[in-house]
Amino acid sequence: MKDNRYADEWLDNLEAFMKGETPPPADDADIAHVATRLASALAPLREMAQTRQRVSQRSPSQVHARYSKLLEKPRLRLARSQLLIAALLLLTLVAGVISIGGLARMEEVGGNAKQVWHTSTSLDQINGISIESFSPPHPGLKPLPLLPAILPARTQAPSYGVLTDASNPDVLTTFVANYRIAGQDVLLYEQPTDIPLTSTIAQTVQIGDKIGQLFQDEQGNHALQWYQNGMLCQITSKLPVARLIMLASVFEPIKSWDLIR
Amino acid sequence: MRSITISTAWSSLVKQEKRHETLAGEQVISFDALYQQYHSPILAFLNFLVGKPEVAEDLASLVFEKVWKHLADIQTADTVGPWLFRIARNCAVDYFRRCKPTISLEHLVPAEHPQADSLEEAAIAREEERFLLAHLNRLSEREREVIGLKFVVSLTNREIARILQIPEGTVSSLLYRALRHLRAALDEQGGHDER
Repeated sequence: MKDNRYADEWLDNLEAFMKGETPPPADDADIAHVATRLASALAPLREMAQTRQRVSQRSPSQVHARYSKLLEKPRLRLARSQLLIAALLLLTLVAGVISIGGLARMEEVGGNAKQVWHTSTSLDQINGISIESFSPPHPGLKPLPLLPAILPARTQAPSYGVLTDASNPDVLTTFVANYRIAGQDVLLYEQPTDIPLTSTIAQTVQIGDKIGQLFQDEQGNHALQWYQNGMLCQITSKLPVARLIMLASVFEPIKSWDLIR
Repeated sequence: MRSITISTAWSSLVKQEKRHETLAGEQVISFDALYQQYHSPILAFLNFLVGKPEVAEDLASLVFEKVWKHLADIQTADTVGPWLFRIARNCAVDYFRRCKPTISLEHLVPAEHPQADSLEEAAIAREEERFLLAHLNRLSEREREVIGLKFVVSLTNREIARILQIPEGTVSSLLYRALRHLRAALDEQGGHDER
């Protein structure tokens, strides 16, 4: 059975929507109009994504021509003397690179895949959200979020915000809270979900009896993500990881919105 | 001839990858499969993000260079799709860091509108489409990415969530919010015919 929580379920499959197979609810008609126009405007790029794929499937030789240098590297067969010369040249080159401070660059190249992963963690989702733009929670809104049962001393009063389903304002889609702990912002972000997400890039951490995932970015932000009581929870902060884990380990579902309104 | 829809591209690729590896066990063939499967969607997505076909071509090449270099880092075949689109996205971000171009997609709007019943309707549709394409610049980077992956690459919310490593619900929210912004802008501009 399909989950009915999200207002844009009708837009999940764009092709079906464009064919009229998944009509939007009546109160989404104005949004559907924009979606139709946008889909029409971007049709040339969509066709490019689909049509040229078939062309390229017919001509794999073009791929090899274009990437021939890269593709041929593993197939090099050199005589012993050539290998010796190559090794000497390589040693000289490496020494030169290190001496001009190129080590950092080499590390960067070596760890490039990791770099790519690290710049695309779910931290970005927090950066794009301003709590001020969210609505305050109201009674009857479900599901209820989780909050830390114990907060560190001198935690400044948090602010809260929610996003709700456009077709049903009593259905929570996103809950955000902002705490100030030890002079650092601690953003809490929760979404109801049936699927605990796993990431191949995150570090796995233990949060009490739960498993969490830890993301980090180059600015020293940590994002700790875990799944609890039907919610994907994330706390993001510059606070030390140990403190975030401690905070995450005391999260419990709240019983009423009255506690935080 | 193989026919693979974009929305099922990843699962299809998993099967292809396994077959190729079984038959030959060579990295080169896997790279070819990746290239054939993903080059066009990646190129279209980059075109959407940077708005310049020649830059998109360069960035797509860069993406596949990185793919070649880091092919061994791919842990499982079903992570390939999200990985590739994340590299593409990061290449676009790097490009924007180097230079801050004005992105314009308005050239995409056709001179004639195939779905319009009358000349007047066609003119309104063209005008709205041009306005929406221009207004995409005012969306957040993340909203633009979601719009691109949805409206250009035709991915499902779940697939987009895997690429951007955000919950599926966030994709829904971002998508809905972006469309709502565009709708509000359209209303403000007064270019929308009430229906």
